Order: sequence, then structure tokens, then C-alpha cells
Amino acid sequence: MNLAELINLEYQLLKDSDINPVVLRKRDRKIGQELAIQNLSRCELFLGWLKRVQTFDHHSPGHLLETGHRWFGFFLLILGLMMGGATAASVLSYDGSSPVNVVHFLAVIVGVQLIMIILFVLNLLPISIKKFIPASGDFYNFIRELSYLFSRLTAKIFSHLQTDQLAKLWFDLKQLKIRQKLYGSIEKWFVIGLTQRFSLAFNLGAMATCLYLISFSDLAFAWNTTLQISSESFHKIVSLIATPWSSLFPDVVPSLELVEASRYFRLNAEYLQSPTYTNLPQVVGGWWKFLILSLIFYGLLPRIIIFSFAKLKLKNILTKLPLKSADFESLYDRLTRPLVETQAIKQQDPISEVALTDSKLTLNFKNKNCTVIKWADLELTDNELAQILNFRFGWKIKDKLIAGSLDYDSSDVATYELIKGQKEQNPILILAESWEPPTAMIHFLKKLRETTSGNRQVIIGLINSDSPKKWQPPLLSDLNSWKKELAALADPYLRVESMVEEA
Amino acid sequence: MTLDVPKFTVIGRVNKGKSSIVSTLSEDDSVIIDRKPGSTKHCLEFPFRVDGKTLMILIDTPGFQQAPRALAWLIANEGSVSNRREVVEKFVQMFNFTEEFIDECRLLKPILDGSGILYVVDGAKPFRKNYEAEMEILRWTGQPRMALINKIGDDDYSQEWRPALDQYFSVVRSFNAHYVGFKDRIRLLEAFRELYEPWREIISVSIDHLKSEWERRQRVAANIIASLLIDELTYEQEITIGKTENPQDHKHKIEAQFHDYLRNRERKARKAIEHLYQHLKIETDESELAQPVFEQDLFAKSTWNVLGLTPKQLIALGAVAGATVGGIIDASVGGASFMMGTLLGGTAGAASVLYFSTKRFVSIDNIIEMLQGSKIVRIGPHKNPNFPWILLDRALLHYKNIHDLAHSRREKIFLQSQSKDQRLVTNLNSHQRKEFNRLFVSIRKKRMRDNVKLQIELEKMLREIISDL
Repeated sequence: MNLAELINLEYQLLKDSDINPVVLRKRDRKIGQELAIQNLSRCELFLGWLKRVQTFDHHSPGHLLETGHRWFGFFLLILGLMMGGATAASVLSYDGSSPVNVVHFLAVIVGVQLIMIILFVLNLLPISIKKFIPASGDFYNFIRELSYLFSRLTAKIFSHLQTDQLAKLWFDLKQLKIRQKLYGSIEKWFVIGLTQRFSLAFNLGAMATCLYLISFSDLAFAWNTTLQISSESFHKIVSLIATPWSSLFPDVVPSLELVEASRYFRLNAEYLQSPTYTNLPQVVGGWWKFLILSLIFYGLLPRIIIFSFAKLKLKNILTKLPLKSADFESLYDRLTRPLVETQAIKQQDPISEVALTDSKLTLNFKNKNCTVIKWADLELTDNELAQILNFRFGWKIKDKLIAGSLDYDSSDVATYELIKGQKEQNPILILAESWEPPTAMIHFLKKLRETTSGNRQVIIGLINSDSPKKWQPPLLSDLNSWKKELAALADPYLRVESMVEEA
Repeated sequence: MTLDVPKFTVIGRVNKGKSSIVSTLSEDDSVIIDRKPGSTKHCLEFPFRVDGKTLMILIDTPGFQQAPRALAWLIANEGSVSNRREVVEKFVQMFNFTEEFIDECRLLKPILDGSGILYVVDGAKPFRKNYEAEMEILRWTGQPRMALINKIGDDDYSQEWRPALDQYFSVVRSFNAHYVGFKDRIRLLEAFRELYEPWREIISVSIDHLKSEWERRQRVAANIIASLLIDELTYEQEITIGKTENPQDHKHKIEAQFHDYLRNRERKARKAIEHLYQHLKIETDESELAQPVFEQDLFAKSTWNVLGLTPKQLIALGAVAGATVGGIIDASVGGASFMMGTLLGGTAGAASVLYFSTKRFVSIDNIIEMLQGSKIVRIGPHKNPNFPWILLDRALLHYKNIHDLAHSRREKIFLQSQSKDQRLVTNLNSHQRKEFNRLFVSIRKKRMRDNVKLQIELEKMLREIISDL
């Protein structure tokens, strides 16, 4: 996996977080089943998934980063080459009046780079040790600063492409930064890779300039320093510097004789040459091989090693990424686990709400008698019935019938017959338990109206017998439900009443 | 009879909880459950599918409206006991597409197509003799039958119902659609298995898939919670401001952004868990007075008082952590410090807990000057020692209420009370508490490094805990 792919993966996961999880699970399981036959690793599985789901064009966040990286890297390369060349040119500047001071070259090309490499190596130490090293945190901040500069530069590079889509992508890329702690080591080695690219270019630039100047101009090398260093001591220093190649190229280790011969002083603004300086022709150009090898061993080679190491490390981290964050786990799950679905395929139609309308029927209390129909096996003794009726309406029971019972013929059918035969048009009171569904009574009411006059009062009296010992008023929701359902009959002489009033 | 895919038709009188049972069994919170009678107009199929292959189908029906009248018709047309099924078929043929017995025809059709019967009654309401009409019609179909006593209310008439149901159904079970959990659902499926021998194998496969799915959800839930904890404990926010800008001018903005991120992150994790358990329609209303604890703001004072570890437990954990460090120093000097390391370490640990415990909110604590003159203003991560415990407590509390919540429940989720007893983390044993503390400390320390290993450890612990909830 490369960095662009990782970013695109994360970006896709970010986009997916807005999608309905049910849809997501179906989509990904389908892809997972397609990919399952290829026997892929976890990482390959994710990449295979990405190929199938990604909809973004070449302006993907991964592409943004890749292009930004390429341009930034190119910029660093040019900058490094130029700076390296300029630095080498300045430390090797020679106008014939005074020789090139070897100490300058060693201080700038070897000394500074050596310090940088030591700092870099220290930074690789574990945090537990590193925290005791002064200013170690500054390195981290330096990395962050470079990272910041990199993102600013990438934004600049793409600023001419400011379309809405690109602005959104850029915003999403910023969102992805939230997840950077998951990839802290990637960011570190990514930025280190960039810095080493610059350093490598710097050394290449310096090397090219050195070779050019040595080849195409006649440089004379010597050394001097304000510090009181004897030729012996300086010889020891240069021998130490030459240690890495002393066994390979013993001739390129400056001899004490050369060191002594190439020392020069400044007195009264005049450079005084060592007496032996002109007598030894090899002294004039004797240093150049040493300096070139110093540049190679302390500049170029370490940078090649660190640059390659950073590249390899980044590749290694990316290859071995566990991709175990919650989002990846969830994706893996969606891809590999059987999709268990239990929900309905077709959605139900929404219920249309019926407005509650009160019946216009006024109860006629002039009648002292009524016909009572006990609905659906209502358990009420004759005494209880008489009491409730008397208390609620002051009525007496003339006829007592049943309906909605198990035996349709002996209850409903018999009731129709009896009602049909009644001469007195007293109110019909149907007593029902409020928790039973009103819809079951609709057919009965229709038939009842067919058997009696259209203006005979029919009252549905509701009782809530939830509690076995106590008659309760019906729940308001039940009462309203009965009213709404029976309103569908559009019967002006039908009314729903509670048989027990609220205390 | 179709043997390939077992079908179960949920039948009963209108408003007796058929849709609730279907909603719970199918984990479908889009099923319309309404006090309004007849909210189910047509039969609706809920297939149990694994990778698109249907293993079982649950069918919700409109419910009986005129069972005694229908039974009267059947009896009138009965030739002998042996042709009862044909009479029912004739009934459906005769009244189908007419204005008579619309619902009866709709509900009988799938049964005559080979479906098993799940007859639902409301055990909170008394038994009435007319219910026998429905049971008798179902018996006439000759299909495998099971009765479920659902309770929609406080009263219990189950004992009245059982003798009647036992006469008509081979299996009778109590099943409160609003309060059953996963195990009850599995037990019900196991009972389905016993209804009809040819269905046994395929229902067993369905049960295995369901168990595996349940285990998957626990794993993913642990993953979501672990991820949440790590994100919240390590989150820091930065803004870059210009050379001349004063960081204090951005203080409120960045602090608000920081806390908003933490809130949103928690909300996102909760949503993920709700979706994982197929609760797609849970609604929360934060303006309500009686907010459930987990609907309260993460940084609300009451949340911090009610959830997380108790001050005593927190100080004890801080002291243990400090004393451990001090103990290492003591050991390294061979006891020459006379255990002062342990003592001082313990005191320092406890003191740091006391200091940071007072801070519910985080302030800007780091301003980095950049080389080019601009500044990076940084806030976070949250340092309060109780913060991870409150997060964990809230996550566990939410999980506890969601994972086994019946899908038929439409009300807002509500915790019993807002008392201190709600703390789940205080009930962890001391080993678990120490382990969590160790992980929290490590996560906070290694905030810029790869936390995957810690996440795996955290997930493992969370899986153990949530599987017991």
C-alpha cells in the first residue's frame, strides 16, 4: 500500500460515515463476496474494496498529497542542489591571492552535517531516553513545522484549481488530519524522507561543484585557524576524519608532512606561506581527494543511507499497517461477515390519522328503558349491569341481549332478530370492554342499523375491566380510538360513551 | 406444504401486540406500532436472510376482525372433520376480493400456503370465550401452531389463558415483546424448531447465524468504544495564528471547538452502536427536563457528579500508580530510601488526581512559536483523571440500554434513575479498574504514537465487560 492509497482509503471511510449503515453493509458485503474468491490479504482486500467503491476522479485526496509531495520534493531537490552548490562554491572560492582553507570546508561540509546526523540519530531513541536530552522536543516541532509548510505549499500548488469540488476535497483532507495520530510514525518518516531528499540534493550539489572546481580550476589548498592548533594536532584531527576510508584508500589520508607544509598564517594582512609550501608540488592540490572523500563519507553516504532508510521504513510501515482502527475493523466486518438481515423488504404504508369528531347525538333521558347488548362476552352480572346503567344514565333494562360471542348464530344473529321484532324504539346500549378493538364491531353495527330504524339511538358504552375487582373508566386513548373508528360509519344516531366516569 | 423456507405467520386479534412481536423478532424499528386498531392493513413479510439467502420468513398480518362469524360460516359448510382444511380454503376462495372478511382472507392465505402459526394474545387482558373462534379457525387449517402470551399492561391473566391455549396449540410461551432480550429471542426460535420436524435443520442454521451475528456485534461494539476512548483521551487541537495575533483572542473559539469535537465524537460512537443493534430510529430530545443521563452533555456538571469513579476510588488509583513508580525507585536503591519513594510517589499520585479532578474543561496549555513568526496554539488532550472513567461509564451505560432493547419500543430510552447507583465502572473489580487505569495512562502517554496495541488490549477488556452486561 502506498500513502496515496491509505489516504484514499481513509477518505472513503470518511465519506461512508454519512451513508446509511444498512445500505453500507449491503454494498460492502456484496463486494466482500466478490473479492472472497481471490483469497486476498487484509490490506489487499481493502484496496480491492477501494477500487470498487471510490467515485472520485484524479483529484482524490491521495492524488492531492502525491502531487503535492512530488512538487514539494522537486522544490526541495532544486533548493538542495542550489544551496549545496553555493555552499561548496563559497568554501572553495579561490582567487589566487590566498589558498582555499581546508578548515572552512571541513567545518561546513563535515562538521555541520555530522551534528545534524547526531541529532537525527538521537531523535530515533526511545521517548523514555529522549526526554532527558535537552531540546529534543524542538526536533518534533521542527518536523511539525515542515509538515505545516508542506500542507501550505500543497494548498498553494492547488490554489489555481479552486473549484467547489476541490475545496471540498481540501476540507476533507483537513478532516483526515484528525486521524493522524493513528499514523504518527508515517507522518514522521514521510517528513524525514522529504528533509533527507533536500540533504541529499545539498550534498550532490556540493559534490558536483567540488568536482567542477577541482577539474576546471587550479585550486590551492591550505589550512589555518585562529585557534592555537599545532600541525600535529590538526594531523590527528584529519586522520580521525579519514578513519572511515583509511584502510581502503591509505593515500587519501593527509600525511603530517602535508599538514605541516600546507599550513599558512596571516600576519599584517598578508598570508605567509610555510617555507616548504612551494617546494612540494603535491601540497597545492594534495587535499582535494581527502575533501571529496570527506564529503562522500560524512555528507553523501549518510544521506543516501538515511534517505533510503526513511523510504524503506515508510514502505515497511505502510505494508505492515495493521489497519485495525474501528473504521477498518468495521469495514473488514462488513466485507467478510455474513450479512444477516431480518427487516422487512417492503415498507408499510403510513397510517392516515382520522380527526376526532364528537357525535351530534344528544342522549334522550326521557326514556326510562333501554335495550342492552353485552358485546364479546363482557363479564358483568345482572346486578352490576343494572347498577352501572342506573348510575350512569338512570335507565332501566328492558331487553338484555348478547353479540360478538363465540356462537355467532345464537348471539349476533339472534340479536338481529330480536331487535327487528322490537316495537318500542328505546335506546340500544352496547356495552363493550374498551380495550377490545372497535373495528370488530363495525360489521355488527351495520347489520344492526339494517334491522332497526335509522334514527334509533345506539350508544356504545365502554368499560375498562383491566382490574378484575374494579370497573375503571376507559383510557382516553381507547375512548378516542372507538370514537374515531366508529365515526367512519357516519351514523348520526350513534354515540360512544364511557360507562364509568372519572373520579 | 412448502418445506424449503419455514414461514411463521403472526396472528391474533387486532391490537394484541402482533406488530410488536414482529418488530422485536425482526429487529425492525420501522414497523408501525399504533394503538389505532388495524395499523397493519396487509400481510408484511420479514425474511431472515443470510447473504441474501432467505432462511426463514416472519409474516405480520392484519388480525382477526370477525372470527365468530367466519367460524359460523365454516361450521355451516363443514362436511366432516377430515375436510376442514378444504373448507377454510373454500372460505378464502369465496371471500377473497370481496368486501366481506377482508382481513380474515388476508391472514389465512399465508397459512394455507404452508406457514406455521404464531398466535398472539394479550396476557394483560382477561380471556374471553369468543377468542376460541379464532383458535378454532386456526386449528382447522391443520398447520403447526404456537401461542405467545404477550403482555401489554401490568395485569397478568396468563393463568386464565394457558388452559384454553393448551387445547389448541402444541407450544405455549410467554413473550413480552417490549422486554425480551436476545436470549429470549433465541429461546423462541428454538421453540419454532420443535414445531415441525422438517424445519428443524434450517431453523438451527438460522439460530447459529443469529448467535454469530450477536457475537460480531459485541466485538464491533467493543471496538467502537475502545476507539472512542482512545480518540477522546488523545485528542488535541491546533490552530495556526499570524505573527501579530494574540492567542488569547482565539481562546474561546479553540476551547469551544475542542469540547465540541469531544461531544460529537461521543455522539458518533453512540450512533454507531445504535445502528449496529439495528436501532435506526431512536430519537433523543436534549431539551427535555427529565433527560436520561446519557443524553446529558458530556461536560454537564451533573454527569460528572453521577458517573465515573468515586473520588475515593480515583484517589486510590492515583496513589497506587504513584506508589508503583516510587516503589521502583525504592527497589532500584535496594531499599536504602526506607520506602520513601513509595510513600512520596503515592502521595504525589493522589495529589495530582486531586488537582486535575477539579477541571471539567480544558484550556489552552501550549503555544508554539514557529520559525517564520506565526504561532501554533494547541489545546488538549483532556487531563482530568476521571474523564476516561466518565467516558467509559457513559459508553457502557448507553450500550447496556441499547444492545438488548426490544425494537418494538418506541418511547425514548430512559434510565431508571439518575442516582449514583448508575455507575457501572464502580462495580468493576479492583483488577479490572487497575487494568483500565493502566491502559488509560498508557494511551495518554503515547498519544502521538501508534495506539493499535493498546486499542486491542482495551477492546479485549471491554468485550469481557459488555458480554456480562
